[in-house]
Amino acid sequence: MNQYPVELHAHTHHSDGDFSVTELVESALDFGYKGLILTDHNTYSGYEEIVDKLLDQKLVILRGIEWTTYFGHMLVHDSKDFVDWRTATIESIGHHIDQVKEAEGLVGIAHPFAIGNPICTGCHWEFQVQDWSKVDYIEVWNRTAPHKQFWSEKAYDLWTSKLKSGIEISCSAGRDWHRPDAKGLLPGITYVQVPDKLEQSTMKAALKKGSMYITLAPRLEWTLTSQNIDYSFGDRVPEGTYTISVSCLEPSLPLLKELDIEPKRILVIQNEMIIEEIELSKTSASFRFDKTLASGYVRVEIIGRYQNEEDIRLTIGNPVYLK
Amino acid sequence: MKETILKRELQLTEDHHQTNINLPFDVIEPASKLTIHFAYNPDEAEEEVAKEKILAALQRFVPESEQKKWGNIERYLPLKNLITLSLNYEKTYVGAHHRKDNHQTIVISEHGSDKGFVKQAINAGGWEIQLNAHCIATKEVNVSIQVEVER
Repeated sequence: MNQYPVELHAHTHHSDGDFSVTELVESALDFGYKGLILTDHNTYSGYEEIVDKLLDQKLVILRGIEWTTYFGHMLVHDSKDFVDWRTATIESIGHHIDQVKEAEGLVGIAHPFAIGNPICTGCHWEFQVQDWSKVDYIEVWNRTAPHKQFWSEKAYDLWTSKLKSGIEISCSAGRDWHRPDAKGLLPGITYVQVPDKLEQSTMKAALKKGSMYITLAPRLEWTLTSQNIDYSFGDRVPEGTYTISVSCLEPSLPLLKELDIEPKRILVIQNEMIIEEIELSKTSASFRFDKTLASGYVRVEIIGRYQNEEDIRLTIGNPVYLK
Repeated sequence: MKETILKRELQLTEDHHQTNINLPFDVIEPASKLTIHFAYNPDEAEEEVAKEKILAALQRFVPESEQKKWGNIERYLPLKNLITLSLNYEKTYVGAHHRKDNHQTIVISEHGSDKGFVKQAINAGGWEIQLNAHCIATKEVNVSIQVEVER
């Protein structure tokens, strides 16, 4: 399996961003992203420019849109057809999500706990979702330095509460990139894990399945192995005994390598209970142990120091679901 | 030759906050270009009103423990109205330019449209402008729309 950093939430001057489309793509390449979803507010016109200028030959790019409604912002990724955002009401969102799914789109809830109207119009999620299993991901980290923002903790709590209630749902990070960020401010990164090469189809499949994790810097590899078959982020497996292999690895992106961080422990979490806690004595380390896993889900986090702040969630892996 | 095919002056009020206003129009003969002149005024709330609304939002959305960090009302001023204009040809969505710009000239054509809108031939048929009132922070907002076609 290969891991690739991708950005799932980005804007240009086709909506309220400052980037031109070319500038956004060049900035993404400079940062080290291998994939990008353009999610301008309520328009696909930036993607039309990407296709016209052949910019999708430099980077794997999917067409997206950020539904910028009155009651929430919703990332709609790679929907084959346009689904109208304008008729969404607090009660009708489930119907709209169904329409997006019929158009083969992926649904992500953007910054659900951002400061809302009238400061940031529609930015706070007020929609009443009836069936959370139709939501592909919750943007647990939004913008730069997400570990410092109160809305990240609330979004994390929302995500884990849905997991605990038995829903298969992923977490994602979105830079919500509108313009070059202030020096020293870095976003959370979403890494997708794909069997081979990153392409539009493999990137989408990874996002749909939850084959991804989010990180402030360290990379995370982990597998559950049974009968010589390896499972990882987003896989669905039967209950049983597995050999768990988990590795905390050095960051791969140039700016993240310069960060003063110190991973201190790995948590293996089943159904929101810590079932294994591994102390780290160096920034890169691998571990292997056996566990019998009951139904629910199991996931991994890396906790550590981020600059002068201790006990920060540095990396959050999406679950393996056990049936 | 330019021809004006729609001209409307509207007065929106606080009751239009978070609602859509539909303005359908017909293009009788195909054209090479469609231009929409869209403006609204005022574009921001008076400071006293703005501060009240911002304070209410901060109390609603920011936890008590974070008020020190986020609770400075001044940082959110001025509080702007936000009305975006979206466009449909028949049932096809052409786009919207979602940004706080209260004077926009939007050109649509099959060879290239302005930012926020995809290329679209100016075919005869039913078109519709929709005003999306994301935020009406003033008592009233005066909106003017003029649509021209060029053959």
